Amino acid sequence: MADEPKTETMDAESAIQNEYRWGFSTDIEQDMAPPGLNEDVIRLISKRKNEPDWLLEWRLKAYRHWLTIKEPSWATVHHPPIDYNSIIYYAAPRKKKLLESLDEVDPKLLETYEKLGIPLDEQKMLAGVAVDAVFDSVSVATTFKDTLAKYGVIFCSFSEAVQEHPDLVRKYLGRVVPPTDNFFAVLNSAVFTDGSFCYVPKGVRCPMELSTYFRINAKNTGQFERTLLIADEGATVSYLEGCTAPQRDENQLHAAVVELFAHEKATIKYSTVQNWYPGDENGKGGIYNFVTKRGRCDGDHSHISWTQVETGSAITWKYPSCILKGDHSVGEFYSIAVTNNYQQADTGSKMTHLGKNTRSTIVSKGISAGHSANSYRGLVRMGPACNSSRNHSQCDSLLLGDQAAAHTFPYIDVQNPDTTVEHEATTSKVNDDQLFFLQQRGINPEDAVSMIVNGFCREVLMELPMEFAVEARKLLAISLEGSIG
Amino acid sequence: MTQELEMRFIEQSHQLDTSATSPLSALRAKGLKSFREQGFPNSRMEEWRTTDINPIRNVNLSYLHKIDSPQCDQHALTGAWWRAVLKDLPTVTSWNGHVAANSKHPDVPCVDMRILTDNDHTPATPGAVPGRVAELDEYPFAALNTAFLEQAICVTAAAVADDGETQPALHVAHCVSATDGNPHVHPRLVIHVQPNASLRLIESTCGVTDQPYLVNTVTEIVLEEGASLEHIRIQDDAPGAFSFGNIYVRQEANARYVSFALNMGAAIARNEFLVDLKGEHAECVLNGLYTGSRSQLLDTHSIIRHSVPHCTSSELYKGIMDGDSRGVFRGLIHVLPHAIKTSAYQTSRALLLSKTAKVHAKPQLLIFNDDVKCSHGATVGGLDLDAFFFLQSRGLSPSRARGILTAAFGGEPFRELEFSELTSALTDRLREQYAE
Amino acid sequence: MLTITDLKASVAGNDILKGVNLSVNEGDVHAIMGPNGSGKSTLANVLAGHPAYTVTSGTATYKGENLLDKEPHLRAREGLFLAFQHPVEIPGVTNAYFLKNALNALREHNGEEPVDAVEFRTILEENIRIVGIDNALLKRPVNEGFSGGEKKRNEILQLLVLNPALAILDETDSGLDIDALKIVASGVNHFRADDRAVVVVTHYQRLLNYIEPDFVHVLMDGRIVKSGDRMLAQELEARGYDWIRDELSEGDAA
Repeated sequence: MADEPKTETMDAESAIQNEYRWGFSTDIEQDMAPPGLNEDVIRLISKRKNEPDWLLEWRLKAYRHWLTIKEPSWATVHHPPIDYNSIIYYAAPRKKKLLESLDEVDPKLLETYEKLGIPLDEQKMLAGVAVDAVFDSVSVATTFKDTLAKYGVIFCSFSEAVQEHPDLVRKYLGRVVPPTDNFFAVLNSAVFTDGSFCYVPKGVRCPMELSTYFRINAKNTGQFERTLLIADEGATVSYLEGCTAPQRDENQLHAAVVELFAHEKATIKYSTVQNWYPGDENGKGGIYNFVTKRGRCDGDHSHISWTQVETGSAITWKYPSCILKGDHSVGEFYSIAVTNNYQQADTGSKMTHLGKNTRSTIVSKGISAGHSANSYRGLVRMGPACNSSRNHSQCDSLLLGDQAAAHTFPYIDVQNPDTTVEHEATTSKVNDDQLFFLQQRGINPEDAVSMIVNGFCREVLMELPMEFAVEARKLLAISLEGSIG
Repeated sequence: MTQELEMRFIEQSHQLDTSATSPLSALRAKGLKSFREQGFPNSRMEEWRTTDINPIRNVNLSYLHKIDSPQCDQHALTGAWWRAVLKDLPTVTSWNGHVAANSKHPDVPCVDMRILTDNDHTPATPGAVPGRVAELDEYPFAALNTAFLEQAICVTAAAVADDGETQPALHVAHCVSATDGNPHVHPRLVIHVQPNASLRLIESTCGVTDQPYLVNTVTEIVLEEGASLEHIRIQDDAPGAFSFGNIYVRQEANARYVSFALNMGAAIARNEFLVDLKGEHAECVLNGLYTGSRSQLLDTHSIIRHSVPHCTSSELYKGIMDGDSRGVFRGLIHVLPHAIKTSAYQTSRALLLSKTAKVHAKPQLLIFNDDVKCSHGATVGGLDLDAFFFLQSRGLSPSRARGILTAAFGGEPFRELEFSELTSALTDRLREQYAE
Repeated sequence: MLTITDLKASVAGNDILKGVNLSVNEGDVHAIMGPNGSGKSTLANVLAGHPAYTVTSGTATYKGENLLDKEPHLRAREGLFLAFQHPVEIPGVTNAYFLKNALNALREHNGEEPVDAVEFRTILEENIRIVGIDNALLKRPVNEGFSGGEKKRNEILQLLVLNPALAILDETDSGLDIDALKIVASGVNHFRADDRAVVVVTHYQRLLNYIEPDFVHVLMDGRIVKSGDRMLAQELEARGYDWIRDELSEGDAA
């Protein structure tokens, strides 16, 4: 294979320099730790963020544990070894030089924005162009915040939450993803710099999708993002992370953690559209996206639903999961993962049934084109006490091109006879008869494939909030451009 | 590998005749080297994470050297229900891993059977020798078997001369009888089916003892162009036994391999299939049933490797788990880049009959080209309560209904079996067993 | 409109068409009849550009241009429509969504504005009435779970919505009961006009009771061996195909 993983180690700093290709230079300011990780760096991070002692201890504990564990190797992904000592773990506040106008932005990026129909002002913001008064993101954000405050919904940056709502943070941080979890989650626990925090109080139905707000604030949240979302008894919230527009980012390694906590009768819907830089046609560059996402249906009748559309990143390693602790709780995972060129995706879900009469659904649609590899990896576990619980999993793979690979690795562990677990998976290529039929009706081959792919993904697209579904459809088409001979 | 058990096995292997220069002796050296490197597997290894073999370490296993005459006779073996079905078949029996030198070989038309040893190594066909298809890396038990390879039962099936003759059939029985001590035995069976020839092979393992023992078979199968083999494996080892089966199959063009495995006995049992589809239009069927009770651990691993275009494979495994038993099923369909027009289907279903039984399933697809049709399905659950109620509403007792439903469930993988006597005996047996 | 000259074609290495000649003018309705395996469906698929069929020699000119050079979707946009013998199912792609996309691709090709939702609705409703299919089928994935009759009617709906110049119906009558047959025929008759042509490929004369052809051709062993008017179809219905075979072999003998 032409892209045999190189043995040289990846240098995060040089990766940063290489971002010149996007048409802007990185101007790193003074306040930053030396590359590498040790307890002093963690103390520095914690001090700069004015954190309470317990949080510093929490980070240090995670770091000490991290030193004892190894990077996992079970995923079907290949990359050169990551040199964790060349990464700069604290470099904030880092002001980036803003561009003067869209003329300075990579035309390829603009072309994509155009195809997605992103408004001009938003294009500027996403591409890092200085935005003038016409589009005042700060004031828009403030308006949202006022509305949310009226309902008692707390929605702010993680750092702000540590200062303003330390008791809530202390109560929930690490309850779902403990600081001794997997390698990347532990690393995140030690060095996370910021992220989002959301708390929806008892009985409150969050009055808006927490998406628009996020999109406007899609600034760099850093390599090690931490998100904590709590829905108290009877609360409902829908959160949309990410953006269909390709995001500019200078960090190659991303290891985020997302924790969701649902109390009795609470509902959390978490949707992700991930479209980070996937590398070029030859597999050069691109983001490594190693994320830990987990939700805990703690109370009875609670409900957590993950929906993801993953089209970006060179490597995606991600398994949004649900722990179904409360009786009658429901976990769902709907996923579309598209890989093209030399992208690699190893993604899926874990559903752990502990409570009685719990239900989970997994629908995964993988599309692999070019030389890419797309794996579904999932676990459904029925614990000894989860009577009358059910799971249904459907994992379908669609292959475009004879160099692409699709893999399916479901793990099923059942310890209770009064449960039903069903797993189905199929792998096939685009059906020639369907292609010919659509072509006979006047649709060109590329549109025909995109139509078939959209049809293949329909079940998942339907789970996305309306306006995002439209963009996601376009995104699928763009991601697969050039994959049809 | 320095653990005690590994050392004991390595020492015992050294006691074999190392002066011999025969092909078997060369294989033994290779097997020992591989086992020395690998040792026994542990649950940190992905392929063994749900199969804990540590109980083996608590048993003082020892190797029984060649014995000239069986210490037991056939009469000791009459009890099992399946024996009644097989009683008229030509049978060769190995006792504690050895076929007695003076035992008479059954006379089966078109079948040439030889026992290869250090002293007598003249195969019927060049294909009928051990070591051709067995893989030792990642297969520590196959390596161990090879380290103790003193004798191989080698069978060559030739094409039938005229159409009038029926398909030849042969039963190879591996029996363990421990009057004292805990033997470990490593039978080796080599099957070579020549072009356009066909054979029905029944391979069984069982024990006439209450003592724990280790039976660790390697079966190597080469199917030449157009050859066909119906391979039935019955594992009915003694309750304390550790039973491992390593089955390697290589299929040339248009060859057909149909396997039915019944995994019933032993304390810990594992079958590992590695099927390599090497010639176009080869077809492979892997079906099986495992029925667990007590605290049994019954495991089936399979890899079907599609290396060339136009091959078909299908796999149907069922498990019925009762008591504190644990079932493991892992099946991998591996389609290599050039194996276009592959059709591969896999289904795994398990029925849990008790609160404390467990099942781990991992059906896997590994696919490297786009022109394939592959699917797998897996289900785990309890008895279908609607059907259970329906049968009762038509007047059947709950136990009868349970027996009928469980037998219908468990019998499915054997429905296609041409040896229909075995299928009906099995179904009857299941219906009785689960009506209790 | 369509001129086929000495067209030869093969599928999977087997020669099926062995020199077909046919000329279709605006306003014409041609019926192509023949026994099973004579090459009727091959002819229909070759004209639509199905990749499984290889043209080995001969020409087909459509609207003055070489048809055989064109990619299938371009043939379609130029107004050549094939109603499939076995309509394919496309999971997840709804009928309405697909049809709207096909119609807009055609419009774009013709330099027209795409239809908006209201306009499309109107076009659909008009034509749904003619083919008599349930509105609900539009929201279902293309042909998925449709009955045989529904699939065929769905083909005619596409015909009416896309409004081509030349419609080739490949055994559209197969598997239809008499009521469905009448509906399909009335759809085709609705489509008939002086500036359009229809080629009906069929095994039986039955459909021709409802769609009256101007010309009837008998395709046998990859060639058109006999042509006539609609009386020929009735003769075939009464006497079968054997007498033509006999006639041919007599001709060979003489």
